[in-house]
Amino acid sequence: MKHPTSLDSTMPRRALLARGAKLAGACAALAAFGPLALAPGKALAQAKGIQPEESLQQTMDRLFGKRPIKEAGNVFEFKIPMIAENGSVVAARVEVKGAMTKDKYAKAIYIIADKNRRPLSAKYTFTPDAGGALVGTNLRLGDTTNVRAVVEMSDGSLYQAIQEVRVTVGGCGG
Amino acid sequence: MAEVKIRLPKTVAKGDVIAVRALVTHPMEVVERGKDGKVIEKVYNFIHTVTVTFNGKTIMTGEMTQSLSANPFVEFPLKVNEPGKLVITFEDTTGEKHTGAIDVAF
Repeated sequence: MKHPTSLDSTMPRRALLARGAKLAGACAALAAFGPLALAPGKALAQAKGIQPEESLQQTMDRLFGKRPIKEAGNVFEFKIPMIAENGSVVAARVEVKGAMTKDKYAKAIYIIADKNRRPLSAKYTFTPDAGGALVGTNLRLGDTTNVRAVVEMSDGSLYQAIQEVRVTVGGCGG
Repeated sequence: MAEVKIRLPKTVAKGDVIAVRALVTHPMEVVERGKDGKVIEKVYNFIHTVTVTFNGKTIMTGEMTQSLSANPFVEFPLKVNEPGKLVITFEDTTGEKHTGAIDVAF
């Protein structure tokens, strides 16, 4: 059944998985089950902080509803490497530019990895006392994916920036 | 109690908005699956909330998930109009709180 060319084309992925297995152990096994993901049991879903397993669209609808999202433009800067050798530590940084006042400030920053099983990676909420809005953190990415940062201003307007990150070895991105 | 490290910029001037970096030693366990692909049900130990206060006033709260790396690091802004005490608290799913504090002075 197996055609030589199709076998060839699967080789790099196999090699990659094998490498991942050595490095990440169980992680690689999880990644292999990816498309067949089952919904988590009730007990787990209720546990605090565990995000529901859902598609990017569901996450966006849950967080932002039907509100329009504008391009980031000059509102904020989103820094994340284009190529991540190790998906388990990917540094991301979001810095909102411009002066913050009590009336107009960045209320929240969301970091969302499109292809992670639970796309919402983190949400940070600021008060005017912060005097600015920036956040730096390290993400886990399961696979090559778009990562987006969404900034919510105090008036409810939303801005986003998207960047693709190529992941060489998956980080079991949850 | 996990260790929380906080780093301030070398110089802090009155009125500045500084970027503070904090690091906590924590495994941030990810969801595990059995061979059948089903999620193994147990309490996964990871940090779900981070809170930063300066002189008692909340600066930032964060919802963290398992999509953040083990030993997570977080960088956040702080406007210093007065010297004071910065406290950062990480709360994990076992109910344990990991707290770090540092004095901010000029």
